[in-house]
Amino acid sequence: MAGTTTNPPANDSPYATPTALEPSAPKPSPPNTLTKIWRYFLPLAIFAGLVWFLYKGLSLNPREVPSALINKPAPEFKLALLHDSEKSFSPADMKGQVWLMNVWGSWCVSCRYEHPVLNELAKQQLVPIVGFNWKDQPEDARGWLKKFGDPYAKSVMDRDGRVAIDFGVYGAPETFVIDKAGTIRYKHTGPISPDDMKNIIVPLLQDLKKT
Amino acid sequence: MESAGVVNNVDSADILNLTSCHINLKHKQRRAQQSIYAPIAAPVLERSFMKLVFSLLFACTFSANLFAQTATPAMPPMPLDLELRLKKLETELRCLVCQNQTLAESPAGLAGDLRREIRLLADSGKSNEEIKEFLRVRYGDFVLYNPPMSSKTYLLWFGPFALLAGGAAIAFLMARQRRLKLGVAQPSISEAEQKRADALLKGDDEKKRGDNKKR
Repeated sequence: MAGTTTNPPANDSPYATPTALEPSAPKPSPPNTLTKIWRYFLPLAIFAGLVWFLYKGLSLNPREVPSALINKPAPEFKLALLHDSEKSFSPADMKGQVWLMNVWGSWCVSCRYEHPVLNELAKQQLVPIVGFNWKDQPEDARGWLKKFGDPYAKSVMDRDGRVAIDFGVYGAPETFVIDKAGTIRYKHTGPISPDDMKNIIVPLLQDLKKT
Repeated sequence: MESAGVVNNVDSADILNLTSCHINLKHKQRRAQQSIYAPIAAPVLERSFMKLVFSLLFACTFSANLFAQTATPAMPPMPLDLELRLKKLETELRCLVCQNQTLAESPAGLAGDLRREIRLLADSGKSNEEIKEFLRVRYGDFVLYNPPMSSKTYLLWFGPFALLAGGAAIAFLMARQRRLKLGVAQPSISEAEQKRADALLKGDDEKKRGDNKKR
C-alpha cells in the first residue's frame, strides 16, 4: 500500500477506525459541525415527515369519496313522482333554476337526523329541493314525510336504484347542488349539519343564484 | 316492516354513519332465505361463517351458478364462463359502502345493485374495460382496486422504487466513504511502527504456541 497522504482525513465518525497506534500521532481534526447537525437531524426530519403523513391519513374521512361528477352535467333521468306516480320528473324540468337534490330513504336513520335542516331550508324558500327517494317502498316514504315534514318541492322514486348509480350515489343521505345550466356543482355526502348548511351550502346557493 | 327491530337496533348504534355494512342485515336475511343453503345459512348470519361456507363451496364444487343465485336473486342463471369472468372483474372493484371489500364479496345493498348492473352491461356485450369505465365515470378512481397511472398516482406507483433507489444510493455512499477512510488510515503507520507491530504479533503467536505445548 503506497502511502500518498500523510494527513489523516477529517474524522467525524464516532465509529471510524483509530488512525494511529501511538498517542504522539496527529490527532483527528475536529468534526465538521454542519455534517454533525445534518447527521442528527435528517432522521428526525424523516420521522417528522412520516408522522405528518400518518396524522393526515388518520384525519381523513374515508367515507367522503370525492364525487366524479363535480362540474359535469347532472345525468338525465325520468322517474315517477312519489305523490303522483302518473306524473314524472326529469332534471331538464329544472333548467334555469338552482336546485338541490337530496337522496334519502325512510330506512335511513341519518336522513332523519338531517331532515330538520332541510325543513328549515325549505322554509327560507331559497331554492327548490327535489327529494330523491332511494330504494324505498312508496307507502313507507309517504308515511315518513307525513311524520317528519315534507321539505321537497318534488319527490321522485328510484325503487331499484338504477338512476342512483348514474349519480354515483353510494349511501344516504347525499345531496347534490345543481346550477342553472344543469351542472352538478357540489356534493355533500352524509347528513347535512346545521353548520354545513349555514357555512357551505347556503352561501354556494346564493352565489349560484346570482350568476 | 319485516325485521324492523333489528334494523333499528343496528342503526342507532351508529346513527351518524352512512348506510353501514351491517344495516343491510335485512338484505342478508332475505338473501339467506332465498339461498339454496337456507337450512345452513338462515340461522347463522355471521358473515365470516357465511364467507367460509361460500368460499368452500365455491372452491370445492366449482358449481358457481348456485353461488350467483344467492347474490343476484332476480337474474336468470348465467353461463359458467360469464359467471367466472364477472366474478373476477368484481374482485377488482371496490364496494363503496364496505370500503375494504370487493364488489364480489360485499353484502351491501349497493354492491348487489352494482353486480346486477355489471351483469346487464355484460349481457349487452360490454367488455370488462367498458364496464370498469362505466363505474369509474360514476364513482371515480376509488372504485378501482388497481389505481390507474396518472399524474396524481405517480407517487403511489414510483414512490417505493424511488425510496429503494435512495436507500441503495445512501448505502453505497456510506460504504465508499468507509472504504476510503480505511484505505487512507493504514499508510499513516510508519515503517518502524509496522515492524514493531509485526514483531509484537509474532511474539504473541509464539507465546501462544508455547502455551499450547505446555498443555
